[in-house]
Amino acid sequence: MLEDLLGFLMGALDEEELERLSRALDEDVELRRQVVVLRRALLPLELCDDRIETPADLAARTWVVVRQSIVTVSGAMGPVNAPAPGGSG
Amino acid sequence: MKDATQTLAASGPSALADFSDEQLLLRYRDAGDQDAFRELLHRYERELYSYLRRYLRDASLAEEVFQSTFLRVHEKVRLYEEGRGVRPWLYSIATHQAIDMLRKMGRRSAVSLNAEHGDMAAGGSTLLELLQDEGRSPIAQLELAERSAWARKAVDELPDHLREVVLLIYFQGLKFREAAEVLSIPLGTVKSRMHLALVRLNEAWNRSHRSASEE
Repeated sequence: MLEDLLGFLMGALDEEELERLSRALDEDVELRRQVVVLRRALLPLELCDDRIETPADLAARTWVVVRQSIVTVSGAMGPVNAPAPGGSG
Repeated sequence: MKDATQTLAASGPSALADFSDEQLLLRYRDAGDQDAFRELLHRYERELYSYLRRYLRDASLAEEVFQSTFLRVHEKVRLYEEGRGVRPWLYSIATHQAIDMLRKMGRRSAVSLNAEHGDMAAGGSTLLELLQDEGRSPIAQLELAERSAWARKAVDELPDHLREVVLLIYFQGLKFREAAEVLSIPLGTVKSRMHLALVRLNEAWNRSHRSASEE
């Protein structure tokens, strides 16, 4: 139950689990107290302020790598029925 | 929602924006629609890169593994099973690629599988109190920056099996079930590792700040 409460706080529960736990929290004062305690335990993570910048054009450069592979490996064929290189993109 | 097999009269990234991840992957798998692949690539650019950047702790390695991940997606797309969550599938490939990279670099640290549980609740309020006391003065901002640096280091120093669960669930926002799928471990193991990671972080916080206050 403790671990499910953590999941509740972190949004890590599936919808069904979330509904079940929400109902339990409505009815159980002790569970709500545990949520407050657990909330404090998440604070070290909340302190991690590490916004990460994505390198410029990473997706475009990655596509070039994949595209080269399509051309090299199959000539005109992609993974299954891929159109010929240059067909799109 | 459009059907995965629907033909687009004007196929292109913008026309694909409303498609689900699964629909995009199936279009690539079944029809070789390169625009669908590119849409998926753009959709996960920021999310998967940030995951790999945290996982690998190195920007250039993260970029390299990001590219190899999507190369693997292209190579393995035939193996993708309809109905399987695309997000955990991508994370699974990315994680394996990252582990392979670290192995090549000889940098994957030893993993202890016999870690013990501790008392997570103990001492947590100290940190809460510190945050509640947070002011806007330069000194307070400096202290917050120091605590933030401490927290990042503490997460970095978690054993790999705990750290990867923290990255997937807390930082990347995956569900417990998705993280279990990515790591190929039981759901209960994911939950207990997340709990244990928090225990460790709070213990480290208490040790660090108790000793600091005693100096």
